[in-house]
Amino acid sequence: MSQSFETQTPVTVLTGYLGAGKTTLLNRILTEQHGKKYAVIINEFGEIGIDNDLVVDADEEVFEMNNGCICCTVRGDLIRIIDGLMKRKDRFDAIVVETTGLADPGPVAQTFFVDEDVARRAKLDSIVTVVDARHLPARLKDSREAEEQIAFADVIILNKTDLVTPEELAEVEARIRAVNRFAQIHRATRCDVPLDKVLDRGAFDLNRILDLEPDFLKANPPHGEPGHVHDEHCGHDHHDHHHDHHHNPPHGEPGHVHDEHCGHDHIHDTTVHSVSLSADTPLDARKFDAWISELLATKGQDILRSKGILDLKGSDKRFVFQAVHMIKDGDFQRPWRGDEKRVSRIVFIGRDLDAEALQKGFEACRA
Amino acid sequence: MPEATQIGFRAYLWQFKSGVVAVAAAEQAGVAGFGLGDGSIALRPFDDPQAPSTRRLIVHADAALLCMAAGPDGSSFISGGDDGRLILSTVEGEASELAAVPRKWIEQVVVADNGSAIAYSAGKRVGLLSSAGQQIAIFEDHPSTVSGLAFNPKGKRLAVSHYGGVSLWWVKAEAQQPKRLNWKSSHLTVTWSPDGKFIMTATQENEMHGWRLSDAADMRMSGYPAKPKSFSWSRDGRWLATSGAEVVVVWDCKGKGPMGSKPEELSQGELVTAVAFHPRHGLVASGHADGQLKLGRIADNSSIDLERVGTAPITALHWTADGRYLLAGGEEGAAGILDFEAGS
Repeated sequence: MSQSFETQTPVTVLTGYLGAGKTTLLNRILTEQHGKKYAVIINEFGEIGIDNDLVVDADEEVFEMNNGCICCTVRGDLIRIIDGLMKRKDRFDAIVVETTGLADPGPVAQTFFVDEDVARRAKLDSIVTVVDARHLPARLKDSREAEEQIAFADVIILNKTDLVTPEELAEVEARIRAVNRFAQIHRATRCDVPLDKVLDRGAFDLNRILDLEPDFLKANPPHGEPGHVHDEHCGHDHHDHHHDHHHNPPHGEPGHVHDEHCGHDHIHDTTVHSVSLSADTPLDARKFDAWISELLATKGQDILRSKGILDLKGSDKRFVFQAVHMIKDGDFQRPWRGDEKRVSRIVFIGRDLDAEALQKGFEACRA
Repeated sequence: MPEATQIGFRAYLWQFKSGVVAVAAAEQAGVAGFGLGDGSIALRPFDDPQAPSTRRLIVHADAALLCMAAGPDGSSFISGGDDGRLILSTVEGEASELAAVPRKWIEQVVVADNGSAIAYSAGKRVGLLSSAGQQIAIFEDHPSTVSGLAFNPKGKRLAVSHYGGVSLWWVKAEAQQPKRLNWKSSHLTVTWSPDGKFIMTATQENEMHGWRLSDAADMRMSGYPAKPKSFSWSRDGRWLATSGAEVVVVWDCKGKGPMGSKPEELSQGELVTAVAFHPRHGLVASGHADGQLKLGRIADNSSIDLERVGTAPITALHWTADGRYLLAGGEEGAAGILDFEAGS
């Protein structure tokens, strides 16, 4: 997974519900002057008017890998199509894969790491999810896919912000943040986001992990402000948290985060959320490796993505880490700078995560 | 052929601008065809490899050629492209469209060994044509996109690989239900043994899967570091050479089949990406990920380096029927013809 070839063609995966604005974004990618030619793999050929001679119609054939790993699924159609496209790779610089609103991004992402023939010639650049600010709350209630598309995203375009009030927008953002702590969120009205915020992000490139997430090491927004997500740093005891919930703004107010306490029907409410952990003393490399390996092997089906920057005892370099389900990748990156606080941080995005158990396991990795 | 150490050959090499997808020989015409990613077929007379120029047939204009086979008459090539067209091109350059499937890619084409039938696939569809290119039947009943096609030795049945196994169809126009050989996996290519007894596939999990047709018994051959996507049988059907490892893995398929037996390993080098059994002798040519061609001999497990054809993985290898010429092509457009009589 850490192989890197100059010749790997970057692939941007574009997800989002029908009507969220994916097509608008796709047409911008294909028509704006940015010096690159894109091949496009789409799913609903007839429905989308796209002017490009390298459009391929895919069938979203999701195949389980028969290797004993139940979460290990790949997109068989992508494997074939990328192989076919590479036969005339002089005709394009990069690929965009558009998925249907109902697609789980997991198999798409895993294809780039599981299939060696694909990995040799193409690399996942980032997963971009377009969401509709007005309809997202409803989608999150009735669709597991909507939640997963947010969970997997590196970049989220919060579109149609002109159709909601500032309060609604803040709430929607807070809900996105609760699911995915590390994605970059861009507000937009007609997907009018500069394309350099969407393309060539290198989101899976270990060398660029920090460059991409300026908020990653920053503190959460303060209590009560939009986007604040409770974590171990918010300065109160989380064991008491369950009995002491005054700081979650009431329903409908900015920053309210739906949780098990807010007392209304959450049958289909978000089950995916982020857990971020940190340690200000170095970790033991072997303990961490044993813990993360065991964790992903046993819980990898529910842990959709994880990323970390770690201070390992005995090394002056930052150890960077990322995983998609159970497929993980890690390497030493640049040295810690003198002015940089040596803190290990790791974020898990997953379904029904046991934050306490994760915290305990992580703590036990301290050297 | 003489002792391995005495094998001599002369190599003629070219560099095309586009990668080589497939190679084949139009035997009657004496012409080698190199199917290229830019949609063209490059023609060289294989018995006159020093011919001054390469002829190019632009077959799939503005499209990619995805598959190619020699035509049944020995003087043409049949190719499929991502333009959804199946084209027969004579070595003189006349083209005729055998099939068109709008918006689909034609990814597979095979011609029966005896030339009696042609089959192609586009998505889940398989089209069956007579040797003259007339449509006999269309088979749509496949659970996923078709990944491989293989006729049985007599050209009477067709094996179709896909997700979940292989479907077997009779070569006939009447409506029929396919016989299914099931194995939960993504099967990527299929081959039928020359004695008709075995069907083998390569799987997404870097394994070879097989069925013994007499009792539909499953066979599973694992241990490959990569997908064993290139298969080649010895003419007598005893040996099956496979790619997918840093050696050519050759299974002994006599008797009940290869499962449980230890395969022969030949021609160690970089990852083997293409294999081709010599049509007469117990020799296997292999193409490797670094462009190296090697020749291994079953009898004494010896091997020699032949020629390096470019530096990218070899994608296609083919012996002419008399075993004199070896045709090779690579992912970045390197190509060659090796003449094994000129050098001895």
